[in-house]
Amino acid sequence: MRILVITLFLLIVYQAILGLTHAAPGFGRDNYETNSITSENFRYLPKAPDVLIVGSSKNNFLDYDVLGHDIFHFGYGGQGALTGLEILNKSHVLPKLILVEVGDTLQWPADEHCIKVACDKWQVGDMFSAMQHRYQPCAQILSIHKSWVPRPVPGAASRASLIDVQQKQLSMPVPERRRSEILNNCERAKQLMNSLKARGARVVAFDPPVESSVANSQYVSEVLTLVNQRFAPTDFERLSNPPGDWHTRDGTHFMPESGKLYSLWLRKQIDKLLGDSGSR
Amino acid sequence: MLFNSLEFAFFFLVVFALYYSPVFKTKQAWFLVAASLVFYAWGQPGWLFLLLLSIGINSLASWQIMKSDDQKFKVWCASICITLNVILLACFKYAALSFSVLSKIVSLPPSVASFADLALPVGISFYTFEGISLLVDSVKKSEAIEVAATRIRHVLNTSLFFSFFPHLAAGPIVRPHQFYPQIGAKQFKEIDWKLVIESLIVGYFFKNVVADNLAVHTSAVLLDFAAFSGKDTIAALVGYSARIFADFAGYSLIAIGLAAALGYKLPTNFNFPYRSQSLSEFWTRWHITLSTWIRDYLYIPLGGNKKGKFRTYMNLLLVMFLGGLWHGGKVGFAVWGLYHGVGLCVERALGLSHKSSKSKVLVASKVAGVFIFVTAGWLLFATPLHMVPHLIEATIFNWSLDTSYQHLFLICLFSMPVFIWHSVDLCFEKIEIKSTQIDLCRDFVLAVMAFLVVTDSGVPQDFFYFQF
Repeated sequence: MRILVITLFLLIVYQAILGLTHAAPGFGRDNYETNSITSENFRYLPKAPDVLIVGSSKNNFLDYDVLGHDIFHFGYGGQGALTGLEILNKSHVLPKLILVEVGDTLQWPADEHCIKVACDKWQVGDMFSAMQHRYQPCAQILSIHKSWVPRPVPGAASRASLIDVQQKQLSMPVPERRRSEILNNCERAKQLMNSLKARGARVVAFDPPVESSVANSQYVSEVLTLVNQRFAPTDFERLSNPPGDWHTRDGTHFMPESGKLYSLWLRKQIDKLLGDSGSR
Repeated sequence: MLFNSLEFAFFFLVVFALYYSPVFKTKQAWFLVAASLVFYAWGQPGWLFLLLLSIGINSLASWQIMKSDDQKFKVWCASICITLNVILLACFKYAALSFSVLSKIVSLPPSVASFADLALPVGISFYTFEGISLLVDSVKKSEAIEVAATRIRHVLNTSLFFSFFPHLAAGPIVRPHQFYPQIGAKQFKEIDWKLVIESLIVGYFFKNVVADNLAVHTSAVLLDFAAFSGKDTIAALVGYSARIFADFAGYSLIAIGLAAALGYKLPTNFNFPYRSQSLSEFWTRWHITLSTWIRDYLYIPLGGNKKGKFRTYMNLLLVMFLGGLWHGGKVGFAVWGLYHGVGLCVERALGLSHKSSKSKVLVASKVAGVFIFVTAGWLLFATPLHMVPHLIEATIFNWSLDTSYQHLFLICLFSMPVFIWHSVDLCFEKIEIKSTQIDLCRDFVLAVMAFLVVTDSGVPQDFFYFQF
């Protein structure tokens, strides 16, 4: 009985601390938790953002100090834009401008768990924030850890090794059964983007660049060919990446300098698009 | 049905409520058997017949053996049934290995080769060993098993012994003399709540918070070791060692807690194994019910250590080899068994087996030595055998790569409870503290564990030992 009482006491104290200190959302310890936290951050948004980025974990490596922290981004690790698009489709939140990552990450289907976390009518976390993924003790500890040890920048040897591993993994053709899945994903993404357009949002496609050796690998090239089959240039407005030599930490995710440069460029495009929208 | 699933929580609450209700007061054993069969059929309905077949063969054979006065008949009957048990286990457990070896020698038709892909029936290794111990004990010391008044009663008791759901899927391996005498009417007021609550909280904490969280981070590194630095790989291996303990010890504790809630006492399966000062001590603390089974039904009948040094070493190698193979039909498991067998032989040859040291430094170095040896052995569980040399090579040559601080931090964070758990036992075993102080401190620690189970559980993973 005493154990139960102490446990309840700890839960109440933790809940009170979260409420009184307005603790910031923590970080996920793995893809599953990070993605769940992204969904929760959307679910508990205080107000609808003007600009929203939908895509994969590539977006987590953009520089939001440059882009602006008012931009909300669905950077789902191990997933593509479909999860974010499905969530937006089910939600009443409608930003003015939605940037959708249309690239090789569309090979990944939508994740039901992330959609549930963001859109279910009722979640335990609605009543007790202590039960939300983002306020788990581990997420909060990680948040402290990250403030002490900033995300390390990989050295040249590590980068080379990581890119080499990825290149090797991608030097194969897309399996036949995956092709139809990718085409279906693209079709669904198009439907959802059209539906958001119909609701009044400006939907613009973009695709943050990756390491050239990865972009030119057999697997990624074949996926991009399939994606481009479904997305004709006239279907949606599209931002063409500026020329440049983009450096990534592992073949896919920006190194800080490249992330900053790309974010500067993207911010300009967003401002332009918002200006256009305003004047339209 | 997994112990860490919501459907199990619901199942258990219903079973618990009905079990102690007046409706089933005189039929508790029948009810438990029925509930256990539902539990088993929930995940693998197709394999229920195998469990029933095993129950049928073993219960009828053990009944005949216990009722017979003819020693020859007893031995003959037990031998046939033990062979049947072994064949059943071998068919499912070693089919893949046998077919892969066979297919290298002769070309097999696809229909035959596809037999190798059959899923392993959950719990088969555990209930088969329990069946063998029932038969052997029936022949050797039938007085240890309470003889039921009627055959039906014996079949019922044996059905419960085999299928009792808290230990059905992954042990602890229960022996007949431990279980049969417990079968009888149970009352709600007799429940040992302290045991129930402690076992469940610690068990779920180890499983949900420690093992499930470590599973993600250790697998990320060990499966993709080429992309990580050597330091990450070593940390992941240490984390894997903590994970495998937390997962299996957690499962065993949950099983003990659930059984206690139903009025049964299951044997302890883990006794702080990572504080062992020698390998032989480790094997008296790790998966105790399997190691004592192997000792009693293999090592001692083979002559144990009573037939000279050479036979002792051969017996050690053989039983550890078979103990390794018990985990499954992979060469890696056999090599793991031999690895421990060789370790035990060397330890015995050097006379390091049972010498307890008084010097703290010596104790610490011995404990560390055993831990390193055991942890290195887990490599054979963590990766396929042919990948082990590549992993070792990558660990050495990738040493200078950047360390993944987040992985390292999380592995340390989630491994810590396992090492604190062991250290506390090691450090405080000789210190006398007032029992009220201990009680309060223990309750607080348990409450923190329960709090973390509620707030910080990882992504639910299958229990590690389900695959065995």
